[in-house]
Amino acid sequence: MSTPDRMAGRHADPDLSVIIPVGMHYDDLGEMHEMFLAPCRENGWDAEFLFLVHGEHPGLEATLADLEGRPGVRVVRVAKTYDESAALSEGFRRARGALVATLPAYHSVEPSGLAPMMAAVAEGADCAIAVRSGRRDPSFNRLQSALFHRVASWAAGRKLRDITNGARVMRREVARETVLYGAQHRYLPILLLARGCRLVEVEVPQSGRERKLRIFGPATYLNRFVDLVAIFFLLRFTQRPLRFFGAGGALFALLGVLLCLWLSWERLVGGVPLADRPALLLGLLLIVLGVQTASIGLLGELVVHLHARRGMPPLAEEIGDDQPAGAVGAAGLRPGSASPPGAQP
Amino acid sequence: MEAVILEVVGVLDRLGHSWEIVAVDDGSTDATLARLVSLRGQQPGVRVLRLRHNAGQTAAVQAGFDACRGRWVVSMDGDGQNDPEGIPLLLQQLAAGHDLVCGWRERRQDHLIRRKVPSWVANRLIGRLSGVRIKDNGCSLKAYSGDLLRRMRLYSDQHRFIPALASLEGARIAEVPVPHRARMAGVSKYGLSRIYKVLADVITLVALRHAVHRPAAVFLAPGVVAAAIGLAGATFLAWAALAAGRPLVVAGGFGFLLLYLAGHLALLALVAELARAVVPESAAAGQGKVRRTSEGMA
Repeated sequence: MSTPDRMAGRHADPDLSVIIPVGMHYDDLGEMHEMFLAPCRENGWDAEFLFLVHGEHPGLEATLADLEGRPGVRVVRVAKTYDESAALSEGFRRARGALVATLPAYHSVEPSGLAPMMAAVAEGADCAIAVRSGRRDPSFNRLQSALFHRVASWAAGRKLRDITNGARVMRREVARETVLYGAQHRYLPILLLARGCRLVEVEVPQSGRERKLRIFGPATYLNRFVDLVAIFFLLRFTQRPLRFFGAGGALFALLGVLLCLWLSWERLVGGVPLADRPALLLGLLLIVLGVQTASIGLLGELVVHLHARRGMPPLAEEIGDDQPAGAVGAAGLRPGSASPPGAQP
Repeated sequence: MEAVILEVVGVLDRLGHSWEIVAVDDGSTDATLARLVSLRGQQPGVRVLRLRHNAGQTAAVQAGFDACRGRWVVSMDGDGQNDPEGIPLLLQQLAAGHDLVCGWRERRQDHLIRRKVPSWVANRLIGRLSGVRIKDNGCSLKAYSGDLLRRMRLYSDQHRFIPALASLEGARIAEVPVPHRARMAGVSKYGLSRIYKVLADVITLVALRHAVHRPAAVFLAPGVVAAAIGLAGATFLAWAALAAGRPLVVAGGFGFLLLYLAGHLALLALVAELARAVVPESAAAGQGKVRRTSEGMA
């Protein structure tokens, strides 16, 4: 898209959009901007920086005013109720660069890591995520991160080493199709994998300043776990909820039916009266539970079916006219809905 | 793959309509894709789509539907088991006023036990439960009116149920025998997990058939049955317990559990109605039958 636009003399798109959501935790934003601007200057990339400020930060106004005055910087103050996922989605919508990078608002990776991540995307990946190498933060951080990634890798069906790190680079098309809510910003790599994106992990030196011990309250750990369960369900069963609920429902109902059959057998053959056997209630309870579970699955199917034709990202990419045969790479593909080649008369 | 496409080109050229061929690459090797791309260079009517990832047959079919622009659309497998000579047979039926024409592999060239028998059972089951009696749901060679396609959106593994889903949209469906050849590659078996999946999908389909139009009824009807069983059973158990001079705990529990289930289903019925009501008419499935325009069927 960018090349013909440039030739037509329209406003040129930057090479790179850097999205920085600013929420509860942030370091010196002015310094961060300069640090990450350096590799862009060095490599001659035309970069725009988007700071998406969510929440109330009266102490930050002076810094933001300073940032707004710098060329290539946009500061967007999103509504107070926005969380990080919503702020990121807003950033994806506004980004104009051919590549879109996201960075946390605090020191996490060294700026030198930007170049290899961008290279990975240029080589055909849809998204590159940073894996902090040479970690020097407290060992407790690393221990809990390792445990978390065990579970996350299992949910994703692929080994992942550092998904919660906010440093990521993706193609603009991928960013444009990404709308996040709730805690999904943390699990973006898993969601992208489920969408069929080519995801690569790039080892990037950890920022020397990331030393803070991260111990959270029990509510945080519980939330992370609940989020993972939700993601696990969404990844596998979004389009087929009955396969999930139906399995549980069938199991319960089957146990209940077997129990009731056995009781009926005893009543009919052995003459044991049913009227004072609590086991009958257990059998019945299991059947009721089974029907309940399955019926919730059916309701899910109805909702999915009714919404099936809304807001789905394109399934395929059409290999375009501008692409010479043989040189098929991510860069030469475009969404299937975009102008198809002329049909035969 | 190229051989199949060239064969199709031959048949289409003979028919004298304008045409396009949309090849959907389902995450195959790069070599296949490169060959398709080079074929595209030689044949201007050929378009090549690549699926985002190996997302399965349904996604591949739907991706093709999304991209194609024909007034009539034909779908077929790329492995050569569908003989392109079947295409004119299908188009005749479209011209006769049908919205969906299914190919029927009358003399199927497949393994009897591994494929034909399970397929016969599945087709009978789907036909019975969905109300659309088609002898061969699994044949990929089908023809559609463009109007119908733009109303349907397949997901999950719904390619197996295209006739039933089309009938939800009010399509007029026909079935014609088409020539079938032995597939060149690919073996798939009906494992236990596959049977479970198909079964769950069939139950969904049966529920959807009613739920799309009257969502509450799907949940209310079994709810009423549960309530009736609960009341009748509780009465009987109470009578038996009283006659024997035993406490009424079990009778009370029986009635309570089934009435509880009925209440649960009634509440779900309301949520189902709600879910249906908030979907705009234009986006809802099964709304508005397929419309026939004067130039729609030449």
